[in-house]
Amino acid sequence: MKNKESFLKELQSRLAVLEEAEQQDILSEYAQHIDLRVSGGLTEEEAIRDFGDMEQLVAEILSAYHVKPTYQAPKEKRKLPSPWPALRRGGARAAAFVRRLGGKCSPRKLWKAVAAWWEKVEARLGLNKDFFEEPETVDVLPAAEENAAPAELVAEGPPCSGEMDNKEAEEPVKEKKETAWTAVGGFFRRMGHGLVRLARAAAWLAWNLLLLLCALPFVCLGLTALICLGLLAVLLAQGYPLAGVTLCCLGGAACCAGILGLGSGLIWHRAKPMAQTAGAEEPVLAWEPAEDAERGDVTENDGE
Amino acid sequence: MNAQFKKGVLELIVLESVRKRDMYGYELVAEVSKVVDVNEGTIYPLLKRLTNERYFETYLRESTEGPPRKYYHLTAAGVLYRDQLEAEWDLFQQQVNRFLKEQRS
Repeated sequence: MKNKESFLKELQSRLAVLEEAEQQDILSEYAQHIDLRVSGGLTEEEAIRDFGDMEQLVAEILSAYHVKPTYQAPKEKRKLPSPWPALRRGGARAAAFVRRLGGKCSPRKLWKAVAAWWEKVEARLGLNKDFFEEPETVDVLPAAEENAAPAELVAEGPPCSGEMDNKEAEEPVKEKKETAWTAVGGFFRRMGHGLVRLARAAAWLAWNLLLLLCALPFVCLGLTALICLGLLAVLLAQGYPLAGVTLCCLGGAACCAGILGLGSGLIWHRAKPMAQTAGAEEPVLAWEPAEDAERGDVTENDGE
Repeated sequence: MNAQFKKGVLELIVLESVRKRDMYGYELVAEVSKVVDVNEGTIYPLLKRLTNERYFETYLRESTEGPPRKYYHLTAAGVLYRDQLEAEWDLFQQQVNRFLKEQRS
């Protein structure tokens, strides 16, 4: 009625709760016992009958592992509460958070701050150069920009510095120096703006490349998850118990899509920084009137 | 013999059998069967439990016929446990015997 094969098969199915290695260990022991009984002259069926009741045997084996012998793996699928409302709520909250975060420390804002700082530094540097040289160079700079005759202004400059005594001696030298300095200042200013623009372009490129680099693994992962999802869905439809793995794949794909979607909010579009250049140049315009005022002082001095 | 009686002393008999020399499963079943008539199926789970509780160590040794056999070896903890079981058994049977004697007289 029962042979060794079917006995071992049934025993294994009852011991499914144990680790594979333990199952094999137990089965080999019983198989060997049956073999030895058979070689001793008994039939397989008699040898198996000596093991007694299968239920009791399994209960005793499992009790050696402190496993409840009546335990059976749950077969019916537990119904989970629908995850969509919670997901939607969570997604909306996350999106709002990222938007807020993006508003606070997006590359655009960051750039604005950097640009303002750079303008300040540039302004400081330009002023410092003027102070290092001689006070009169302050009026030379705007004069050069307006293409007015610099020589006249320079000639008028020295009185305000109070160097009346050395005026005649130093004048030609100063003239040369100052025209050279205006050229250098203009060059530096232009170079500064060029540098700013270059740095902006470089930062734009670097940031977007970094984003692209970060996005690549997620794209690959998402595509893999999608492919696996498709395969698993087919297998699942055929009746394989792959619901968990399929859900994992779905989750992975959704995660990747979500991360990419959120990441796309961090892309630095070129149009916005262009609008900011106008804003960034404002400080430059702002400190020009100050120079005009100084010039006004100079002309007053001249009047005296 | 009463199955409950057998079950109680089976552990002691198994431990004592392996104390003298290492044995493999079938050999042990045969040895124990000499003392008490026991369901063969129940000895393997017992061996498993005693192994899980570190009273036995097992090792494989090639046999002349068939696959390698799993031998059981009594550990130091197993020896202590055996001695404890023997002491309990002695005390238990003395008490039962004394009680039976008292009732008879």
